[in-house]
Amino acid sequence: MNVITEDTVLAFREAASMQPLADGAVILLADSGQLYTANSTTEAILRHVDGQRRVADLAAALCEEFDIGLEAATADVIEIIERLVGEGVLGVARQDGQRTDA
Amino acid sequence: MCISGDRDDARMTSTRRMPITRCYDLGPTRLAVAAGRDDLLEGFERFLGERGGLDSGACTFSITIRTGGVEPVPDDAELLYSGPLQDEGDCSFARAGQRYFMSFPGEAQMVIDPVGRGADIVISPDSPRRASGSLVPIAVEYALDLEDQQVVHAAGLALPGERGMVLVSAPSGTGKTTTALALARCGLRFAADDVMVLRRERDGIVAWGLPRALNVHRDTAAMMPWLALPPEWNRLGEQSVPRRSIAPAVVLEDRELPVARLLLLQRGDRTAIEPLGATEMLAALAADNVRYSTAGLTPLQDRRFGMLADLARQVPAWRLTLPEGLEGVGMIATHLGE
Repeated sequence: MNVITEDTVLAFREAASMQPLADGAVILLADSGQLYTANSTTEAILRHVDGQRRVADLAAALCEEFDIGLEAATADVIEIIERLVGEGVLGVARQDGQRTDA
Repeated sequence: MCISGDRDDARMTSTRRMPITRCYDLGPTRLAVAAGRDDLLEGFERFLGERGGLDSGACTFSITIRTGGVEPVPDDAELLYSGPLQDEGDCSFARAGQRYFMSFPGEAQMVIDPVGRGADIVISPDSPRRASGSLVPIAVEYALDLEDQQVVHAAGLALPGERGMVLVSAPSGTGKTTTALALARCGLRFAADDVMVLRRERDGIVAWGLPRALNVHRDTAAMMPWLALPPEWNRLGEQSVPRRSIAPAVVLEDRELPVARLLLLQRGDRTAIEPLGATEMLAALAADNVRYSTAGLTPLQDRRFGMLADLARQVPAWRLTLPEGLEGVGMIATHLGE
């Protein structure tokens, strides 16, 4: 099981297809047909998932968009990311602390 | 490229007659369907007949239908779906290179070549009913997709004046046909009861109705005596009603019009219409229209998901709750017309 920390880098699973909308997003897992609706907070997090940014970067982006402190944002992002990884929408690309090419 | 007689003759095995070709006007898509026998064209005629009559020289996609032995799918094909289709039995859908294979084992097979802008359908002589089943709408989907047109499972009704099209979406069995006919009787113009075609234009998304025959249930006919249908019902209690035959009891709409409203129809205890969020609308549309596979979304399904998302982004959506029967439909028609 992957542990999500501030240094975790996430990427969409290949089967996941997201359509952002004004009030959130719809995510389709193409290999199972499972559909998820996401609220605007989750959509804002997912918009910044690119296989490069760490959880800490996602939390910082959330702070810029919403009136929320970094500590609370980090906790929210980790909770939401854990759920999305569990549902198979996102996968862990790497833990930045484990990189060997740095 | 269009079908020529020579090409068709070269592929025929058990049928050696001159091909009959029908051509259909599907907006920017021009479809030609050729078969050695008239009855093999009945499925396309029921689905598209009102849009027939084009010159075959103008076609953008060509389909041939012949009878013969069904060949096996290539060994290297990637299986996308395998399982039963409602009322049609076991079916498989596979991809090999640029071609798609839709097969009903031992009975029929369609090979679709989007790059070559064509499809070949082979029907076993023992299974002529296959020429009127799911092969028809799937072939039409691929033909439309090449001009960036996508089908959506919805009824379509034009608002009074030039105020655009209302799409009524709901899973099969919810009562789209009944609701669409009732709204049309209350003054909206009837485009289609089940399948609409979407296309992006500069000012938004336009829709037009596929003119397939309506499947009207005997309960619907009982509520709408003005349909004046003969008492001839199949085992499902339905009969096929040509779209043209419901005029002049209702006004038909054949044009493409900008989509002005989306309605998600559901059944409930009382009549209600309330705003619906774009995410909920898109989730419902995707669940009813986007086919997934073990190999992910095919390019066509990916484009369809994108088209539906644009629709949900651009067009206001409403949840329409109606009790069984026709109660409240007049009020909804008035609301939509305002």
